[in-house]
Amino acid sequence: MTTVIASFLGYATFASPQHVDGYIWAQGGQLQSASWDDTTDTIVDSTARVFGADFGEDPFFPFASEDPGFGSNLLGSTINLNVLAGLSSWNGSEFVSFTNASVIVEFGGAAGNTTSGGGFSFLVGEGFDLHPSYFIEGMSGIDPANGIYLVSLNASSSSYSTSNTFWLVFNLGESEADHDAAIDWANANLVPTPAGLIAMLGGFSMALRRRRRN
Amino acid sequence: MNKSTTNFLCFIVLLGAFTSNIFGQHVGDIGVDANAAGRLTTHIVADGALGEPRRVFSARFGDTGVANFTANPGFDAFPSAFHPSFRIGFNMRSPLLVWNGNGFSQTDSGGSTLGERVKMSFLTANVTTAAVPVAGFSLAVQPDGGWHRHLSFSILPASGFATPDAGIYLLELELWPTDPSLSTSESFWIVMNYASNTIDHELAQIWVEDNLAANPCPTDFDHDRIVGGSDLATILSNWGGSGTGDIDSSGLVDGVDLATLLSAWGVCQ
Repeated sequence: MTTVIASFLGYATFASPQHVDGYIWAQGGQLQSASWDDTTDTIVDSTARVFGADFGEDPFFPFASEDPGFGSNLLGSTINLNVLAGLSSWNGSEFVSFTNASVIVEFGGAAGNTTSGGGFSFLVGEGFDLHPSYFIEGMSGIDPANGIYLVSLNASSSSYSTSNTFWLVFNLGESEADHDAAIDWANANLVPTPAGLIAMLGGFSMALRRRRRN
Repeated sequence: MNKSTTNFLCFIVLLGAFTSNIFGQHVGDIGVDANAAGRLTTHIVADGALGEPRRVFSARFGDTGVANFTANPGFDAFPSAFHPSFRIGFNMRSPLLVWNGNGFSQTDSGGSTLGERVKMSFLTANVTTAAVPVAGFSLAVQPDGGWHRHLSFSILPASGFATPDAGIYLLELELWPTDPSLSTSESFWIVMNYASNTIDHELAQIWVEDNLAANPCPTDFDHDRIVGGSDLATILSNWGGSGTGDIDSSGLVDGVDLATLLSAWGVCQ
């Protein structure tokens, strides 16, 4: 029930997009994503899986960003942030596969990208606040086109099972209204809804009961 | 520094390790603000708020699992601190120095053989310490008026070596604004530990506090290098209380403190 309520709250929170950093924590032995206000060091939504960010927020770096950052309370753990291959772009009504650009996520000299995957690892220390560098590159040296891009990530560790996928929705030169719409779409269509979770949990518990009866 | 002083400092450091967190393991961010005179100031960040002005900070390479790298300390100006149409930049005020047990020595003399250096980078921009001061680069104030930035610090080995020497390194920086109503900060220092021990790291921080950052003007509460109206206002607002303004540490902000302030009125010497 707690999970269902938390999921519902998470869904409600992200109906209105806001800028927050990500947060990696663990529950039931599995890594989880959450949203986090690093200014106040508070968890905004313990189940958040969609994070908005902007390329070119600083005009000196038009195709780069250092947001979202990530905090974590898993002190002493080494966590891998994995970029899942496959970049999507927003067509006004949904995200569709996009191969004319690649997003690179880099930290401490290691990187992953949406063309071939990969990632980097980091050790969580006290007061941890990781800000990777995110870059978007067009293919063949051409500047990437304005658009809203979806990057899929997960977090893994030797001490916990791998997190569910979470997503970064980057805006490159499009309106905030379009960015918000894309974030809303990701929350509604990629993140399991409370009803979906209830169905999943119901199915899972029935499956458990069937196994026990066998 | 003589032996008895060193022993005393070791004692203080060890005592502190057990009893307090003055120089704790956690590398805190550098709080950034502007004082009443419009000068950029650096602060300790505590419990999500700007604390007292501070000019000495610490870092430890490898704190995120990459040996020669750290992204700490970050810079934290809280929302509404600055106007979002401006930028804040930094300069490297001096060459990289290394702790020798009694002070700091230069790692890079400027000859053909390079010593250890520190590279500061942010996205596609980067600068590296040299035998002379180095101009840095600026980063935009964020749309909410905050300036929360984590630059990457990498320590580079000396010429001909695969890895840097273990040691305590000292980076001297200043912050500058593009907002013409503000002015450049005083120097501040990041004492950086690369594969060296904690005691040396803390001794080096104490040395920097005492020898580089010590305020020559104890009545200059806002660190603008001028004993003036805002300092007088601090005394008056704390009159009869304790803390800031209690120059003689009597436990009371009183006439003695006021007289001390008035006798130091003007530019700090």
